[in-house]
Amino acid sequence: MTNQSPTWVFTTAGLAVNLVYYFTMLAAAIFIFISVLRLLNLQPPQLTFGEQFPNRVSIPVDWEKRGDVTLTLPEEFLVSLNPGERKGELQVPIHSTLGLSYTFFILIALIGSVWFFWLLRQIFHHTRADLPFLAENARRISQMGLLIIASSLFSEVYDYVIWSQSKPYIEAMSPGFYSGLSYSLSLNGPWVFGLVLLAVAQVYRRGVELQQENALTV
Amino acid sequence: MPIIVNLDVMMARRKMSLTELAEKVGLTMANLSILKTGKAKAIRFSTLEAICQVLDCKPGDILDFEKGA
Repeated sequence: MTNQSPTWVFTTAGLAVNLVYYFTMLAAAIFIFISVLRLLNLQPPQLTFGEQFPNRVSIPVDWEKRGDVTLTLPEEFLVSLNPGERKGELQVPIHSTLGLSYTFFILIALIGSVWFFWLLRQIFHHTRADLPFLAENARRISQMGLLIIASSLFSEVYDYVIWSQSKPYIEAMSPGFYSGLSYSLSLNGPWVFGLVLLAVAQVYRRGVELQQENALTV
Repeated sequence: MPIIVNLDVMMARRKMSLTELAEKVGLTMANLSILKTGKAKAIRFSTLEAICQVLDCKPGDILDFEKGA
């Protein structure tokens, strides 16, 4: 039995990475466009289904109900609540601290995703079958590993900030409700995958050295 | 590197050009240049054998060792 190199796998994966990269770029561009319009108090175009609240951002939250109470909302708070599932979206003004924090976090997450897929795209773009090990690719894999580790840390900060800042909003809605969001430092996250990528980059660097040695062996 | 490649000396003695040697040994000009200019990291026994056969010499005639070079 001969081992045949499945070249279509590489090509298909490259195409998929390209697609995801452009999709992420588009999502980031749309998000920036809508956020800028909202920050300038302009009405963004209707891009999503359902009711849109001008100059507000939707923050996914969940909450618990103490006893049998009905939800009464002050004028300034808008929520899309699904009581059965005990979760919904808190509509907060974009100019509030929570609204600005949420916009900032989503923007950073989108930039991180674009960066990650750009690195992956560059790897697929520059890798050749006859020269598989490139020093630039080793650097790119390291950067991807560091990005994933940073995203784990970022996720913890996001959870903490959204939890601490959305709590007063939910408590202000009704005395019978309290935030179901909780914050706890979790150790199971994508950071392990980031570490694995750093290790792969180290092995890849050795591959680059071996390839260079091989090229200088006559 | 303390290993000195004296390939050009042997080629001059045998009055052989780099192109001719490359053809007879079966190496590319680029690889032979890497060896001649001392940029090579390693040499295969098969390459060394072929060069020695074509130039009618011993490995020691091509390769030398100089301490601290």
